[in-house]
Amino acid sequence: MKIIVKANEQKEIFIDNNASLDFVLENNASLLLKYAIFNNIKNITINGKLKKNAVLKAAMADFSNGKAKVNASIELDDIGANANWDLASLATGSDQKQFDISFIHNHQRTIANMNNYGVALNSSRLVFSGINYIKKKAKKSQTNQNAKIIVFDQNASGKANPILKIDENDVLASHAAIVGRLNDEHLFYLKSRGLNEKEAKALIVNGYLKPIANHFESKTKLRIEKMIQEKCHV
Amino acid sequence: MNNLVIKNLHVSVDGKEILRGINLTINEGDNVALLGPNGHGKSTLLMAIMGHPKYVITCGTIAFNKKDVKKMSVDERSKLGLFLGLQNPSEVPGVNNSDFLKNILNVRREKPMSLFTFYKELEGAYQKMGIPFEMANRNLNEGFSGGEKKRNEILQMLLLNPKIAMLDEIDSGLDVDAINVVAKIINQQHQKGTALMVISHYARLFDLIHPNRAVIMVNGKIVLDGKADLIKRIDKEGYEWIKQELGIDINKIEHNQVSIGACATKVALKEQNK
Repeated sequence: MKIIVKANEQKEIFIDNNASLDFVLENNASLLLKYAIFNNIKNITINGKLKKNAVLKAAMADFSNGKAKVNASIELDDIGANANWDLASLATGSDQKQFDISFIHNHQRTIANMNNYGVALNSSRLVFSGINYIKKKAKKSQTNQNAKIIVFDQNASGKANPILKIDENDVLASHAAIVGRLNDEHLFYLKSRGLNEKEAKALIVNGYLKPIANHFESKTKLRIEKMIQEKCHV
Repeated sequence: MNNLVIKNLHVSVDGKEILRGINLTINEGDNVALLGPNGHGKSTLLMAIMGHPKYVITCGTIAFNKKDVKKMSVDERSKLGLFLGLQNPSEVPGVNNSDFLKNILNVRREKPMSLFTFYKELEGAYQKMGIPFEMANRNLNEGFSGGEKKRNEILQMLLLNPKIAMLDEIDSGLDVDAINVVAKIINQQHQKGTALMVISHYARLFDLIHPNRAVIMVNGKIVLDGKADLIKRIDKEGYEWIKQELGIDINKIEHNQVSIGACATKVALKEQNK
């Protein structure tokens, strides 16, 4: 799929399958991009270019099954380009999913903000990677990477290694990547306040995955909440 | 009348016996200072009462209002009215503090609280604690300072209104002002009928909460159970006199062990790893 949002226009796209996407946001254009993937996942490639003062707000809710790689590469090509990316992914069974999300600051005063949240259950594997790259001359740019995965089961694994690459001095960059394993101390703590195992697990799973639902309209929102309940047994 | 009755309690951690026959009764209205040198089992006793899976009861009984606590899961013990304010509260990733607080209140109720009632109650509790309400929106203990974690424990005690509150070094990491606030909340909780079991190494906290009893643990046993004036004596003289007056040898933990943060469990694990 190819999309061009013309100068000064606003567009909203909702995709509920494995469609790849190429998009260009012209000057002052804005795009609200919403992905919700519920069935079998296949490789997805997203390429985007943002021009002067263009705004991207992207949300991806991934509750799919399977083995796949999602590749997103967003280029911030002109002053004032601003991209925000939110992802929540649930890996269960023997899923193997990798999200490679990159932002390239090609111009000064561009902003990218990425939040990736994931839960890995059973014997699944979940990887968050990607590079936020601030190129030479892209001064006064801001970039933020936040990647968090919680791993529940012994055979499940998670890896969060987004990378910051910075070739300019006068920039603001922040980076947080955490893979946490739910341990006995956490569970004891939650239980000691009156939550049983299921309630404790639900609290954690919902904390990671539920906020993404707020980006979607009510039908998809309900489906996301139902998916969390069913797949996490909470 | 609420009461907690512990009889001949033996507890092991990773195969090493830490508690060697504890007999202790906590009655309604009690305000007990739990004292003893580092590494002699105070925290272990509280963990075993709450049911931490690592603390294995090998012998003895714990009963609360004649119910067998040993048979209950940790969450059942909490709902029964036992509360443990931990020495090192866990940082639980991804759990929003106010979501957590709402959940722990709702699991005790037949119908969940309305959001409005909950926020009113929460706001009141934060006000009492003198901590900014914004903290409710941070993740549970994640990135909290030592003092903030302790205050978050006391906040939970306040909200849960337990029958017995066991507080393990709740004053460590708190500045003077925070100790005063925490002591005030503990006193109010006690006046509401909550019995207290408090571990602290500092007389300051006890000066503020006025225990009616002092219980001294040495070598995994209770060697003295008496009036609160024992606290003053220990604060002045340490534990050496126990050796002379009671003829009890206080098992020294390793020489190179720094006294702060040493506990019987850690010592046991260390010995095991040798």
